[in-house]
This record gives sequence, structure tokens and C-alpha cells, in this order.
Amino acid sequence: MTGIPLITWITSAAFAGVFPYPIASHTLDNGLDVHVVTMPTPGVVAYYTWMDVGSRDEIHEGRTGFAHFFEHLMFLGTPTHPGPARERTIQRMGAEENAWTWYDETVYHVTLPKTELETWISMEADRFQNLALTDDAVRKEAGAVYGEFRKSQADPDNQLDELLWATAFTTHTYTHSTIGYEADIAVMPTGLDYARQFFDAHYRPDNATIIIAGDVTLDAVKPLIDKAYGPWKPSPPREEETRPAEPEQTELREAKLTWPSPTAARVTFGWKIPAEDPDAPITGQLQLIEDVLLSDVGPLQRRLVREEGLAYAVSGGRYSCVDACLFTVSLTLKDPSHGPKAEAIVREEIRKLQQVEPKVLDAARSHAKYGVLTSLARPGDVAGLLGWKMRRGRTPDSVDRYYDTYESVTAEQLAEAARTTFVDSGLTIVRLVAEPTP
Amino acid sequence: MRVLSLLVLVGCAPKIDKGVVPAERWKAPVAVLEQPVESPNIYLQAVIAAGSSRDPVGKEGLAALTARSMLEAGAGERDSATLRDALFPTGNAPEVVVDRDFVSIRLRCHVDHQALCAEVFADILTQPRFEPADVARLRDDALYAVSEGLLADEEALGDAALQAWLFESHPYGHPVDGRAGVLPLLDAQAAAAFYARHYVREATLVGIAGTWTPETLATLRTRLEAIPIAASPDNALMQPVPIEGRALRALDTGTPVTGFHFGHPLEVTRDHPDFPALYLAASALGEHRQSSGRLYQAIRHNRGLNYGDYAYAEPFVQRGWAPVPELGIVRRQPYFSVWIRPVSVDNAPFALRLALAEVERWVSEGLTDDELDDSRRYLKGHLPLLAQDPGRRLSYALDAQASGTPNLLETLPAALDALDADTVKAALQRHIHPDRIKILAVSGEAEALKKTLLSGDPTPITYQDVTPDEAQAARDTEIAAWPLSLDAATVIGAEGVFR
Repeated sequence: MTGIPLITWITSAAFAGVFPYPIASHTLDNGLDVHVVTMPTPGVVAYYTWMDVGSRDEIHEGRTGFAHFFEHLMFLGTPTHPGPARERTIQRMGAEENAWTWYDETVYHVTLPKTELETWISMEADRFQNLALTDDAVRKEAGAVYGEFRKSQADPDNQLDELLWATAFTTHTYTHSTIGYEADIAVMPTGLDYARQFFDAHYRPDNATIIIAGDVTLDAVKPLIDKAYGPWKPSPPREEETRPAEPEQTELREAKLTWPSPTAARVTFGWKIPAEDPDAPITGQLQLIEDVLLSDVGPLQRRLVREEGLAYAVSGGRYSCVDACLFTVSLTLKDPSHGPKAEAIVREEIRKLQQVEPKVLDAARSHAKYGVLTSLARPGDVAGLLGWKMRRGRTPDSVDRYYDTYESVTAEQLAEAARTTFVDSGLTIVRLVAEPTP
Repeated sequence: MRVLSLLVLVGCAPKIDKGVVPAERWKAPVAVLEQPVESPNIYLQAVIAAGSSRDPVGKEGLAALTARSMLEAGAGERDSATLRDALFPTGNAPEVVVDRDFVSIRLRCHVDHQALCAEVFADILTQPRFEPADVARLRDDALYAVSEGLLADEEALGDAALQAWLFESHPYGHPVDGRAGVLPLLDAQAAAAFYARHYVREATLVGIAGTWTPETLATLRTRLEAIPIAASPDNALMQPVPIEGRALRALDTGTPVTGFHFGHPLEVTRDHPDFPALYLAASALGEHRQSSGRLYQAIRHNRGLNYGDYAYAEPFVQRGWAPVPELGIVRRQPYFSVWIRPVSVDNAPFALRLALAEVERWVSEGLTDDELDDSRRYLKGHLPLLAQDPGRRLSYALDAQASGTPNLLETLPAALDALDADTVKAALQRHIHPDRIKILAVSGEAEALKKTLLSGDPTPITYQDVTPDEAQAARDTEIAAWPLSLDAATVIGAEGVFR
């Protein structure tokens, strides 16, 4: 394709305009937003459809895990492109297609040769408007979801994470994981009617954002998009169902998980934090805290893993959620007896956030900026980052707004954010210990 | 600054089972290959013939410990903490992939940091410090990874256990991380000695891609001259122990599900004339994480038994959520394998029978013309997606050069075009033998599984919620009694499997 602009790689010290590619945007009459990022990736295009629905929206009793289950159902085909025919067409494109679901979104993505884009757009628009749901297909797909559930059960990190969110949230839907409760997975096979309701409620153009990145321009795809998605009907006016609000946490919560086979002891701290808003100073402040506290050169890695040898691994950070959620610190301990000392070090290093040296902040900012700049070579990575930030920031400049906020954080603001965030009244601690059965 | 990409090849391809190499080959001048590309980054990579097949007996894990220590136990003037601090503002850190034959060391940097990155990269390759405390920590990490770490990921455990079993009593027969029983014996001194012996000119290839200055390249070339002019120690591989009949090994875990990994060693490396045929045929049987394969259709799509079912004509490693295979995984002795993801304990015997029956039919009948064309179209369209950035393109080029095999990005399209159904079927029948195969199960009910499978009794499928059509019901009856003909079956505890 001609007309790909030469990119000027940012080399200035500031973050200003960190997103290195031009974005062209277009909104259809039905409310569907389309953003095209033109990149020098000859012949390759990524196409992401970002649906604003995830396990956060599973507010009905007995329907946990349904957003993820529905993601599976979206691969069942339409009257025009029945499942097997659709699969075959996509196979013959050489496309790399998949999807994922999390708390706040469901994302359908493909990377494919540019020459297949026209066919892809017509098929993709078809499935978002004319999905064929049958009882038989729903039943079979429920078995696959059960399989996915099963494979997660042997992973202690996964199980401890579930316990953390279940303990930290009592009312909000973040209390259950995206895969859902086993009892709800068990009844998915009979979920055809509910699946139809779910589709009608959430799979609407005004609840979707399409991001196309790579060897492509808006001019080239706009007629195709308008034709394919124009008939997609927007949501009828309806009363928004109330999403249960989480009451304010007032005291420390703790929970314990025993593991039936040998594994390292683990502990995870989770503090309540606000929703991600790219313009809110607290977003940038918490991100900078993460980059100072939990990076490879940060004090927790240095002390717990390298100097004192108490932990195999330290991880965590600021969850980036649409509603208020958690900032976590997770430790995989070398010995269960290390727990109290390791936990004390975490608290000690959090206290030290009151006095962070400017050079530490500068290094963390540089790390963040160059980390993102060097990782944006593939269209899928670019569409992924932009989609993620736009889900939270709503406009195409969300990546730049987010990094502008991050750039402006001072040491004093960081200290203040640490003081207000890392309090026991907002803290949940979960611990895992192995108690192998003989 | 130039907008230009070069591939710099220092030395020459490492020796692969070819006896003594004349001195001229490992003293060979630098070869330069130019690939213009626009990028904000530079990509520095080295591929070294220093993988885990070179671990001394009784020191399994030393190759991986050495490679990881080069990155994380100090290099040049910097101890490990100083090195980490120096690179932190670049937003990137070096990474290493250790496999059976090769070690790949990679560092990506923004062009703003190219001088620093070239210096650190050269330090890692030529002046690793092997600080004892860091090496000891990395050794403990490896010990954890091959014991409790693997127990936490039963699918990775199954894959590792199958590889170890396929290559029993062979240099490939232990995980690259090593064995838990001997890892405590390894230390900084052993790592330094392994480094001195194996990180030599003949064993090392270095490449650079992206956009760099002439000064960066000149510095790198000068620094790499410090790699000793020496031959790589001989590392001829024995043949894997031949497999007689069908054998089952079940790892007993506490989780109430059963997954399978089965296969056998292959002689077909990427330079073998039958490689394209097997590569395509495996894609048709079960392309990784795609829904198009026969196994996926039969097991997941039509019967809802699990999450996915895949087949591989060569070793396949996928890191995290990456949609593409890890590179640096090129082996002199590959293997064919099938991965059946966790099935309920009740339906596991049926799922295994179905998978084996599909493999047998695949070998005896080959592919239809449509399947062949579909898979060919998929692989040709997909190939550019495997190497979307300059770093991966460089890795493909280095892997090819290091292993003396073709660069698949360049050769595969034409090779696939040349295939027809008869050629593919003949290749399958020459190389894949479902009657001589090792089946590794990871199961929460391993004893019961063994007993059921050994008995030869029919194992019908239990549908939870699906009513099969007439044709599928008939096929189910056939599969339930499909002759497994197991020649041997053992159960071992999952704990300590790599002791």
C-alpha cells in the first residue's frame, strides 16, 4: 500500500505524544466506533473488536462465567457462514484468530494478510449481527468451557487469585472470576435462551469498538466497514440494570487456602484502588508506585528475591479496571516460615515510598516510556494497547492522555497516593500453604 | 543514522555431528547479510551451540544455569545489580531461551540506547562474571521449576515428562532446567567452566537487526573478537531407544482430570526432504490453538470433550500467551507429538482411543485434496505472521544458520506448493508409526486409567448434554472398542518425576 507515512521515532525526553502512529477515526450512524492505525507492516493487518462486556456484567444469579462462555459461542457461525464453512475460510486466509474475556471486556482479534481484509470485514460484521445459536451447539461448547475450567484447577496461583477477589469483593461482580463458578458452568449446556438475551443486551454497535492496525488506511476500509456494519441495529432504549455497588471496606480481611500437593507457600496483598481514569492523577501515581516498588530493580525484588532469598518470585501491581479494584503484591515463598518476615519487608518498603529519590522516579518513567515504545512493532500489540486504554479512556488519544498523567507525577504526590492507598482498612491478605495428603 | 538492517554473522554454523572441523571454518571471517528495514529498535541476538544436550552426565541443568547466569550474575565491569540498574531505563532486559541444542540470547533496545545495549550484550557474551550468590539463586530457581513449579502446571508437566521418556538414556532425556537430584551440586565454578568450554567462536552466531549507527556495529564487531577461536566440543547424539509397541505411562496427580501427550522421535529435521509434507500434515491433523484440525473437530467441536487438541511435526514451545512459537527450538533429533488437553476422568479412555484412531486414519489414508489445499493455504498465509517484527525475522535466520537447515520463512512456500496428496501420504507412512508410540497421561486417577486401558474393555463416551447424530453415534460405538493394544503400562507419582 502506498501512503504509509514515515514515522518519526520519538527520542525526546518527555512522553508527549508517546503513541507513535497516526490514528484515523470514524463513527457509524449506529454508534459503532472504528479506529485505524496505519503502521509500516507490509502486508499484515490486525483487526480487534472490543466489546464492552465482561464478567463485570454478569449480574444475574447463576450466570457467572457467561460472558466468557458467550465468547465461545461467537465462533459458531451464521446462516451465511455456518461454523465449519467459516472456520475453513479463515483457515485458508492463514489468519491467526482468537478471543479473550476479562472482567471489563470481551475482545475478538485476528491478524491476517492484508489481501484478506475485505472478506474478513464482511464475515466479521455478519457474525456480530446474525450469530446462529442452536441448542446443540450451545451444549457442545459448554463442554469445552468445562475443559477450560478443569485445566485451571491445578494452578495454585490461579486459585489463590480467585480467593483474593472473592474475599476483597463481597457484592460487586469482581467477586467472581471470569471463568465463573463451577455450579454455573455445569448448567451452561441449557443456556440457549439466556445466550440469546445476552447477545441482544450486549452485542450492539454502540457497545463495540473496532481497532484496525497495520498496513491499512481508513480511506481504504471505510466503504467496506460502512457497508458491512451499517445495518447493525443499535440498542433499543431500555432501562439500565443496576450493577451491584461494592460497599466500602472498613477493616483488614484475611483468608487462607490449603493446597493438597507440594507447592511453595504464597501470600498476596490486595489494596482497594479507584477505577482507571487516564486523566485522574491517582492513576498515574499508582502506576509509578508499581514501577518503583515492583520492577526488576525495585526494593521488593532486590530484598526478597536477591539479597535475603526469602522468595522465588515477587509480582503484582495496579489492576487496570473500569470500576474500583485492586493493587496487589504477590510473593512465592521459598519456605512457609519466611512468611512473617517477608510480609514485614513488604510493609516496610511501602512505608519507604514516602521518600523516593528523584533519580528513581526518572529511571522508572524512562523504563515505562521505552518499554512501550519498543514493544509496538506488531499490529496486534498496537491494537491491543490502544483498545485497552480506550476501554478505560474512551477516546483515541487515551494512550497519550494516560502517559501525560503518568509523566506529571511528583515525588510528593506519589507519597500521598501511597499514604491513602496502602491502609489496612482497604487491604485483603490471602495466603496459600501446602498440606499434602499422605 | 542509517535506516538499514544488516544481519551480521560471526563465525560459521556450529558443527552438527560432522566430526572434526577444519580450523579455517571456525576462524572464518565475518559474513554480512543486509536486510533494509525501518524500526525504532535495534535487535541483538546470539545463538550458541551450548544447549542442555551438552550437560555433563551428573550435572544436568548446567547448560541452562550457565546461560542464565551470563545474563543475571554480572558481566564486564558491572555486578548483577549494576547491570540491571543500567538497563532498567531502556525499558528492556536481555532474555535467554535454552533448548536441547542451542542457547539464544536476545536484547532489544530503542535506538536511543544502542551504544549501551551493544556494550552490555558484548559483556554478557564475552565477560560473564558468574557471581556465586547469583548463580546459587538461579540454581535454586531451577530446582523449584523442575519440582514444585512443574506440579503447578500439569500440562507443562505432561509435555516435559513425554520428552524425557521419548529420549530416555539420551542427552535430550532431562528437562533443560536439570534434574532435582543433581542441581544442588552445581555452582558458579561449574558454570564458568561450562562457559569456557562451549562459548567459543565455532559455536557462536551473532546477529543484529533494526536501525543502528556504524559506530554501534563497529563496536560490536570489535568486542566479539574476544570470543575464543576454538572448536566446539564434540556433541554427537546417539539414536533414541527404539519404541516397541504402544506403551502408557501415567503420572498420578491430585487433580481430577486427565490429559494426554503422545508421540515418538522423528528423523525428519527441517532440512529433510519430507519435512514440508509432515509439517503440513500435522497442521491438518491439529494446528496449534486453531480449530481447523481433525483432532479438534473430532474431540472438542463434535463432542465437547475438552478445550483443544493439537499435533506437532517438531518440538513446539509457546511462551505465555504468545500467539506464535518460541524460536531457538531447532533440534537435531525432533519428535512427533499430539496434545490432548484435560478431559474429565470418565471420558479420558474414550478421548485417547479417538485421538489414536484419528492418527491411525491420518497415516493410513493421508489427507484429502481439499484438506491439503486448505492447510497449504493456511500455512502460506500464516508464515508472514510468524515473523512480524525484525527481531523474529532475525531469529529465524540465525536458527537456520546455526542448525544448517533452511530458513522456513524463505523456503516453505515453494516446498508446500510442490506437495500433493500422494507425497504427503507417503511421507506419513515412512515416518509416523502410531503402533510404536509412547503415551504419557497426567491424571488424578492414574491407577484406574491404567487398569481400564490395559483391560481392553470398551470405554464408551458419556455425553453430559449432547445428543450425537446417527453417524457420530455409530462412530462412537466403534471408537469405544477400538483396539488400543497396549504393550505396557506403568503409573508413577508426579512428585519427584525429574529427580
